[in-house]
Formats: sequence, C-alpha cells, structure tokens
Amino acid sequence: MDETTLIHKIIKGDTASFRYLYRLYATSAWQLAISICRHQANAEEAVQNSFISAYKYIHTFKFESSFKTWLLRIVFNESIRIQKKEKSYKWEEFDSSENNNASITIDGSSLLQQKETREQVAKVMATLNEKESVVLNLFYIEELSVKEVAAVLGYSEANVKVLLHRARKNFKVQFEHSNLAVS
Amino acid sequence: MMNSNTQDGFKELLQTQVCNDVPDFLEQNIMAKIEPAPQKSQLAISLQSIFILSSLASVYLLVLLASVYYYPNLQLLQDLRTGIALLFLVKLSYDLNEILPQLFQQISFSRKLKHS
Repeated sequence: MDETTLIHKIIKGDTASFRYLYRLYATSAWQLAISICRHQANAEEAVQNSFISAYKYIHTFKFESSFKTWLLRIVFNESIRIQKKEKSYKWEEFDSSENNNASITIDGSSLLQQKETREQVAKVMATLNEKESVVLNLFYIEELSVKEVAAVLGYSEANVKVLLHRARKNFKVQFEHSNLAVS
Repeated sequence: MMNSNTQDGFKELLQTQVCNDVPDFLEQNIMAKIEPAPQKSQLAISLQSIFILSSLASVYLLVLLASVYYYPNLQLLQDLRTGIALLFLVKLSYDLNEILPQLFQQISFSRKLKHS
C-alpha cells in the first residue's frame, strides 16, 4: 500500500493505517527527538505529542513534500518546544558567518567492525551542539537531501550546507581526537 | 560542497547510530489517544436513568402515602420526602443536561438534511 493511499485512509479515520505509518517512521522520529532532547523522558514526550498532532492535522498535509519530511518537521518543532521549557535551554539562531565549502572526508571504515566504535561515535555526537548533531542525523542517518533537511529545520539550503560543513568538521576533529580515525 | 551523503565516509560511521530502541509503550500511548473511546449506548444511559428516576418516584409515593395516611404528624417522614424529591430533581437535571444537547444536535442535523 503506498503512502498516499494510507494518508487518505487516515484522513477518513482509519487508525489501523496510522499504526502502520507510526511503525514506518517511529525510529526516524525517535532519532531526531533524542538528538535534540538528549533525555529519554523528553524525547518520549516529543515523539508522542508529534504523532498525535500529525494524526490530528493530517488533513492539512498537502503532498508537496514527503510525509516523512512533514512529520520530522513536527517532531523537530515539538522537541524544540519541550527543550525550551528547560530553563537553561536555548536553540541558538543560525550563524552563517563561516562559509567554507571545501569537502571533508573521514575514514572510519576499518574501525566499523570494532565493538566500541558505536559508543565512540555516540560520544563524539554528544560533544557536538544540537544543531550539528541534528543536521548530521537527518543527512546521514535519515538520508534526507539538503532540500529536505532545509524543510525540516526551516533553514535555507545554503544555511544547511554551511551547517553540514561545520558539523562534519567538528565531528572529524572530535573523532580524530579520540584517536579513532585517520583522515 | 559534497551533496551526496554516501561518498565522504561519514555515512558508514553515523549509520552505527541507527537505533531501534523506541520504547514499546509509545505506540500503545499514541494509539490509545487517537482511537475513539467506545461510546456508551444511548439506550443504556436512558434505561439506567429511567430505572433510577422511577425508583425514586416510587419511594417518594410510598413515603407520601405513609406520611399522609399512617403517620401524619411524623416530621421525619416529611423530611425524608423532601430529601427524595430533591434527589429526584438533581438526577433529572443531570440527565437532561446530558440528553438535551444531543437531542437538539440531532434535531438541527435532521433539519439540515431536510433543507439540503
């Protein structure tokens, strides 16, 4: 069953189709929420509220983007809203002053078999700020295009490219710092 | 700027972070909130209300008979009668409060259907 048919069924009130859609995108929503919230309880709240909102407002979905992009945009906004309730939290405005377009590569393939690699990458991701970890998550883990990442974050494509560049650079520095990679 | 997310070596490393540890209860919580709760049958509500109201009315009549013909001077029976009458009125207004809006809604809906 294709996504469009599923969405039309959900609009008509078919909750079983929504359950199917939830199972398709729960992991992506969870990845995004946990990368912003970084606390299990907040991520749970964000994912739950987002799916409920998605169900409630699915009739407003215009099929201009993919459903995944639309849903992740809701998850992103909800995660930020929940995090803003934490007093010290601030999602900083985008600073595009750095604009270096040189490509950055990393070689960690030889290390992928190692058991501790997952933990090392997780530690490096935790050292990045939320924006950087979110953009890496959406681009590399969710495999969204730059255009789709821009739609989720509400940035321009140019800003996403700068943010990606900065995230790659910082990731590489931190990764090399932990003596796990050779560029 | 590299637009592909497959050629720069980051993907292999970051894909190690794909996790399937979404809490199981989230699905149940979400589905419980969006699935409509099974509605009480309108007939069941009405039958229950009719039973309670008729019981109260019967008890009221019995107390009324007793207070008029057998114990006309017993204050306790008159107080009891007043109490039962109050209970009856409270129950009646509570039920009307639930039933009337639905009734009006049905009437206006059927009028709309007629006009369309």
